[in-house]
Amino acid sequence: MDKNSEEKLKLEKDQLKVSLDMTKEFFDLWTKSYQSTFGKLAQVPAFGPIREKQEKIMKSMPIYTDLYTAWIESNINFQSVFTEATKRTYEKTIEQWPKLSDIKDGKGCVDPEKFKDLYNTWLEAYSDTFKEFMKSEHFASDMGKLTSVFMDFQKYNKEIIEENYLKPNNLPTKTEIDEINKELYDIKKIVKELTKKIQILSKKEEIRESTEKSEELGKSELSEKTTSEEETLNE
Amino acid sequence: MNNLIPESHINIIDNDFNKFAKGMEILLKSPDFSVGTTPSEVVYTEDKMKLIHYMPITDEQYSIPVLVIYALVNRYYILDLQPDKSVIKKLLNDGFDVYAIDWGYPSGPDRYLTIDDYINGYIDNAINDIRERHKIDKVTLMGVCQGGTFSIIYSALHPENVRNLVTLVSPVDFNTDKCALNIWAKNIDIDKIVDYYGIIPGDFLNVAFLLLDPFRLLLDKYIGMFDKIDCKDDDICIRNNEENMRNFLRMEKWIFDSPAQAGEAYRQFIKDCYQKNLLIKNEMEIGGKKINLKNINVPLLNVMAEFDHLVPNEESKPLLDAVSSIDKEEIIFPTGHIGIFVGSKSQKNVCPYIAEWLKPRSSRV
Repeated sequence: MDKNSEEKLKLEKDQLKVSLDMTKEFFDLWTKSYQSTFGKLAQVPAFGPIREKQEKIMKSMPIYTDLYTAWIESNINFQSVFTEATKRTYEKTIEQWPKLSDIKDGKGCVDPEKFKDLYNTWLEAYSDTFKEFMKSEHFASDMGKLTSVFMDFQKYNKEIIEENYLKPNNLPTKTEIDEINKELYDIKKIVKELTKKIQILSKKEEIRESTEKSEELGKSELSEKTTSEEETLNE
Repeated sequence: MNNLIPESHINIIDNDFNKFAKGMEILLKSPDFSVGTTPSEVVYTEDKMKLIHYMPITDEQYSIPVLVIYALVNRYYILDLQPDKSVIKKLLNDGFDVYAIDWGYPSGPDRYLTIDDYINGYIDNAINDIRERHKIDKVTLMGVCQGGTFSIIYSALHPENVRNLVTLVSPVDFNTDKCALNIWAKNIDIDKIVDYYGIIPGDFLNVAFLLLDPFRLLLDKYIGMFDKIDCKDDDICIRNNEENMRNFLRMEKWIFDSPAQAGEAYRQFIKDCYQKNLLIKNEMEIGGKKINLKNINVPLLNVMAEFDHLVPNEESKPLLDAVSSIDKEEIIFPTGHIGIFVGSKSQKNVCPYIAEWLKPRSSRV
């Protein structure tokens, strides 16, 4: 890579970094401002006949902002990885074919096989960069946070739908179905345990009966034998 | 146009278009890509679990049957994906009586199933059924991936029922940073996920697997599928193309035919294994009993794949030192996590190795 290309690449990278940093800075500022103003309002206890419902609805604000924050942070991270992957592809391409003429044949046409090489270079750069990122603690912690706030958001949505739509319309809720499922699971478990115990007892009973039978058989055989022996002796 | 683009270049472009067209031609015929075609029958069922018995194909069988235990996230037909590359068929050909557990698709009350229910319930009942059926005391366990971990746990709790233990690409020591899954698992709030979903959707796990290498798994794989097409028009090429496409579709089916996960079992597996790594420390508890791996004293074969991206070798290797078996062995094949079951190397090397290891250990004592 010549000096000009290197400098251009560095400049582009710096510009992107500044742009991403600014986005993050702006969002951090927005979050802080929200938390110190509207965020506090959302936490004020409600009163009046609909206080219970109102308080639940007001609780949604921090849940939405948490989700939005985590989503924006993930987006920023992904954008920076895309940028890094594109930069690596560019560097590798320049390294492989420093001049445009390198991808052309003698007649000035671009060799189609070079497109395949370019695809492979792109794939390798993107795949390696993303794999590196995915294996980082940074991504893992971000993903953990995003999943966690997404679950809070889903749980909240479920509760709101159940409270405000399903219950007033006399429709079964997921919570009720889960309760039935739990009871069903417990009953099944008890039935299985009892069935096992009955099977063991039946087997024991079978063994006992067969032992008794064989003992009785043994006794009667013995008494028959004794009688016949006595008879033989008498004879 | 020919004056602008040389003929050699047109041929290359033409060839690529042809490959795509021929691939589409095969797909438009809706090829049959049945999986798990080895004849079998269901001999025992319990809830969603089915115990499958493969029909023996030899006149005589070894007296110790083999029970294959799969991961909860996998369908049972991975070892019988293609008729010509079937680990099950290979074992049957070698004279083994083979059983496998199909976990089915959990739903409803299954969300409360625990690992204890799987180990001391389903697996134990399936083993007892086989023991009664064959009038024997012990069976050979062959565990695949998480199914291997379950086989290890079962063998530690009930060594009296196990004759041999074969583990394939099975994790036992989860303390590694070589696989992204282990790093992610440490950072997720599993309680929130299980409490919300109850039954963890199969797609939730699929996304995680795809994120391991998204560009190759979501793009390059499909380009490669068409790139493999041979454009010659002779019968052999046509047949090969069709067979390659069928095999590709079989693998696609298996990958995306992902059962959901029973929430409580999933919670315990993530917490005890991935987050606290209790199994290898002999501190994991199932049904109120601590699992001591030293209780495993049966012949053990630990099979690993060198390029395993899901269960790196360092997750499986500690098993040999953790057990008290005298007859124990480990082997690493130069293949990947899936290749070990379905690759051509699997048929040539892995299956024969396992079968030869099992043969002298499978007759009645």
